[in-house]
Amino acid sequence: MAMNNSYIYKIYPSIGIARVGTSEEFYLGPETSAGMPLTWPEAVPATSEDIFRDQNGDMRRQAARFKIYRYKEGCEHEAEEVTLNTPGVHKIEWTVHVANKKSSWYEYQTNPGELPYSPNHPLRNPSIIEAEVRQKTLITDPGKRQISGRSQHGQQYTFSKAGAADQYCSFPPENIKPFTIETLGECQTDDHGRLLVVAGYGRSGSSSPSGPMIKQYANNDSWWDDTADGPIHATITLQEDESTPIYADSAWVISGVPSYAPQIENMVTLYDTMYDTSICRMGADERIFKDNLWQSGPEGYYPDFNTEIRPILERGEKYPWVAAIPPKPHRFDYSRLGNPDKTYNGLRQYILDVMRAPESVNEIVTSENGATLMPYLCGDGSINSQQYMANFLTVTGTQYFFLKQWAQGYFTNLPDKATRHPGEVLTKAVLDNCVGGAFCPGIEMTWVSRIPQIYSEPFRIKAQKDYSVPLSLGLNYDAGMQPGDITRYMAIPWQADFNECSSQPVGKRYMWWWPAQRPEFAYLPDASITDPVEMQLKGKQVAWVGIDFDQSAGNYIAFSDDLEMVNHWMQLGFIYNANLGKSQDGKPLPPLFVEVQRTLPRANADDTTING
Amino acid sequence: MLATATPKHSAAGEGLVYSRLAFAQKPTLLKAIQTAIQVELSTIPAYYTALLSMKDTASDAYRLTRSVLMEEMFHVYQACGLLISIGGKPILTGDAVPTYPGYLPGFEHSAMPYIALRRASVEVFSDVFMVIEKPGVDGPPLEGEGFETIGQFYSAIAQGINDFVKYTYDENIKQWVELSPEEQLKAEAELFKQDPEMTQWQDFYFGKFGGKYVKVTNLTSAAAAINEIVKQGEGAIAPNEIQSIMPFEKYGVYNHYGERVDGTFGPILGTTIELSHYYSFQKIAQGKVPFPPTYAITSEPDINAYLNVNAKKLAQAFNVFYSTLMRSLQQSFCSGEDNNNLFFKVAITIMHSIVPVLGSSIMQLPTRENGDSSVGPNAAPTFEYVPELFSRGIELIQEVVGALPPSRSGAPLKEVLEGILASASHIEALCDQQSI
Repeated sequence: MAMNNSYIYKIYPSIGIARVGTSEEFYLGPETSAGMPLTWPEAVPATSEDIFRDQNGDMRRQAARFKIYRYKEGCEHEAEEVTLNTPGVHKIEWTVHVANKKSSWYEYQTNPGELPYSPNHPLRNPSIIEAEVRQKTLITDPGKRQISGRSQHGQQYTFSKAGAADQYCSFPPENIKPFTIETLGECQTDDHGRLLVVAGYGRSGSSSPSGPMIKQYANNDSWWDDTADGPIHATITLQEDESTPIYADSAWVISGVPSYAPQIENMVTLYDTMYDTSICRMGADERIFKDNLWQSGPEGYYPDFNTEIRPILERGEKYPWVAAIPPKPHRFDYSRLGNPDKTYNGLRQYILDVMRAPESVNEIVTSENGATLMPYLCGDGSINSQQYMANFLTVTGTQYFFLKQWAQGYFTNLPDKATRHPGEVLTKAVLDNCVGGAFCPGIEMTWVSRIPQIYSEPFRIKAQKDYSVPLSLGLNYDAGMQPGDITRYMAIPWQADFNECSSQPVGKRYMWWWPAQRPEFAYLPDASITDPVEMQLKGKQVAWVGIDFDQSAGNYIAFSDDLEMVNHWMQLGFIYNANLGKSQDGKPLPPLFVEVQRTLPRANADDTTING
Repeated sequence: MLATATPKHSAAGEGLVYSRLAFAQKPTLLKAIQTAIQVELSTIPAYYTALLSMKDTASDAYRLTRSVLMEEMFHVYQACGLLISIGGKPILTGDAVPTYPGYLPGFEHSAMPYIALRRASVEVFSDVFMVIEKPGVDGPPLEGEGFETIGQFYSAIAQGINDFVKYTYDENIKQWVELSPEEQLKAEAELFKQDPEMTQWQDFYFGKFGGKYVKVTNLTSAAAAINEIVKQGEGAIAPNEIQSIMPFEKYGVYNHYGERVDGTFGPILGTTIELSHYYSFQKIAQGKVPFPPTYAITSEPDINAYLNVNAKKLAQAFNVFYSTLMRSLQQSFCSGEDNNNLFFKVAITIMHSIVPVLGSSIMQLPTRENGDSSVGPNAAPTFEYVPELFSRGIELIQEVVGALPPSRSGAPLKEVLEGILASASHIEALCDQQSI
């Protein structure tokens, strides 16, 4: 007993991401930053574009895979995975409870709510007043599922009415259109007894008697979708003491929007945002931020070029593949920029000066020399005209601090030899593949990710221990989060925001929303070009959805009606590195991204020629 | 290449006169490309003065002018590469640095405006900048005539390179005769013989501006390099490239931002007209974009006329930094990694962290000790080439910082100058060591 108790067990990733698809088949979510999804059941990174669709051309769903790691206090870097194959392990039992509370929550209005909502903040579906009715009709709750053993799957593990058996459950009305919702996905185990949570089918529907209509980007009454979130618990029993289960720290699963460009990261990832929250508001690393002071200057924190600076630049370098952004200024000379010699301070300062400072959320060019500030992306408040709202995205405070130290030469550029907790590496990779801003509302999660009270420790959401059903309509930070509490802020249905949030007029400019997650432009494949620079000079760049020739048109890089996204999201193309696995003279070819696996015909693409 | 000919000056002794035979000679080409570099160099201080004089960096006029300016810098770089490719060594210092007021080198005085360093005004854009960038008919001038547009000048160079490689002039029949393929290869090899001391470095950085840098090694790449400069910049527009309402090419890449055909600002497929300097300036001159407020700088800046000691010292320091910049750029074309690095270490620091902030600070200082900077006349940088080395510039700034009162009114300038000193301190030792 004493020996067992000296271990700390936790589930990783602490937040896992599943994504909707229309196929019964699925793949595992990428387990590296900007990596390809993993094939199922082999669980190896895919090396072909075939991963995205099944043989019928249906979009595969994404499963989130959860593992358990244990370590002894103070020896986190020696953490080891615990599976049914680990000697001495008798049983691992998982409990999953996801729900969708979107229709029962407040309307999404950019930032209100990050501070408490005002008393006149409208609820969604306000015509349904009685609390119990709201709980039973506006919350989709399939109930808890328990699963243990190897390679388990089946109807009893689906997040459907059938899977609920005799538990309490609630589902949207059966007559909603255009799609009914019968399940929020399912759970399975792999041959080691690890947990997989597979997302639903991306079905959204409205109960409106006049038929499905979408009136705005985030708040549409009478609508439901099948995204969800909720806690993952696990107990481990060891052979030496089968009567005493060991509880692992819980994790959370979010099942959301497909990842159409998995190999392209966002400028600010969800990891960056949560990391910033942990640094600035949870005291996670006093080498960086202590007593409310950034540890700057020559005596302060030295960020690592390869892990803390270079990724920011590399993300910028990839954006021109998914938006109409000039590629040339986004190509960087990493050998010079990674050189801490003071004579390069001017060069590094040049880059820093075009990065928008976190307090300059409404500045588009520098007041010193008129350079356009980066990132050229929307901020939380782009859709509002108020000046106090953030019109443009900035890197996080922590990212900007790292860049400032770097510009002044206070950084290191050494081979990375650190041993890290593999579970924490996994969590970072998973969250690096999600959007960390702008939040309006976002893709996987919104600004709740910036509220420290939702966490039990950095990156780990505090799950409420005991709760009754039907699930609560409210929010209690002290008690912890319930199923559905993390994603209920998001757009209902998700397809509305996903369609509209392509580009956004802000003043005279049209800013991009989340090109790395919701592509705006794509290059058509051209087998004759393997050089990315040549592709970006001579390739064929087209709108991912809609038209590209009139920025002010309703269907500029979007469907003209959000309802079309509800019907066609599963036919859109994926942005894929066509040079993946290719090499020349023994060196891997640099990445070159093109659109693949699109099943939706592209208007005017190949049927007519203009001016001969 | 039997006959030899050198380009003649016009009757007035002002500009060069076009002679196809002369331009097909290597010495003429070397001289013409060096002149082209100086032409590009001459525009930069004029555009830069107008740019710095605009107070609102977010205005469209500022943005358009800035984009032209940055592309002129790119053109200097590309023209230097062209010169190196045929064995030349670009000169960016001493007498090659333009003086103001003055004419564009190589051009008929009647064809090009007299260029002074003036603050931005509608007249400067319409009567000076637009005239410099005015589009012309494709091709060199007629035999024996002077140059009227920059496009003509580059056309003459392109024609000369082409003639050198492909043709010879037969005095007997008074006609150009095409060389055999073997002779053409030989002539091409003879023309594109680079000095081993020089390198066409391709790793430089001008942000999003300019075209794609073309490394010149033969006739084809030389034509492409000239095309990058002429078509994107000064805009010699071939009739078939006029923009139609629908794109001629069905597909393209969105490599630039600018005014779109839908009337908004955003990504464009990048046609020559949309990007040409002439049309950028025309938008400003015709009032299509609002004209921003400007600093009240003196109309013909003369350092000796500055009675305000601080303004005078800062203008002198500006000239030192500007001269170091030119020396570092010139040397950065030499072979060897250390020379190449001068661009990234010295030139970038001066261009980005010193020149713009110092220039704009000077423009906010009255030329007279007790003047009013909102009324003027204010001082302005004079862009003169001086032999003093970088550290002299630092000394001058330190003198001004030392003399500034610790009062509130002096604080913003003091802060700016201290920022310049901080940036300068990182490269001072290197500049000393390189004697630049």
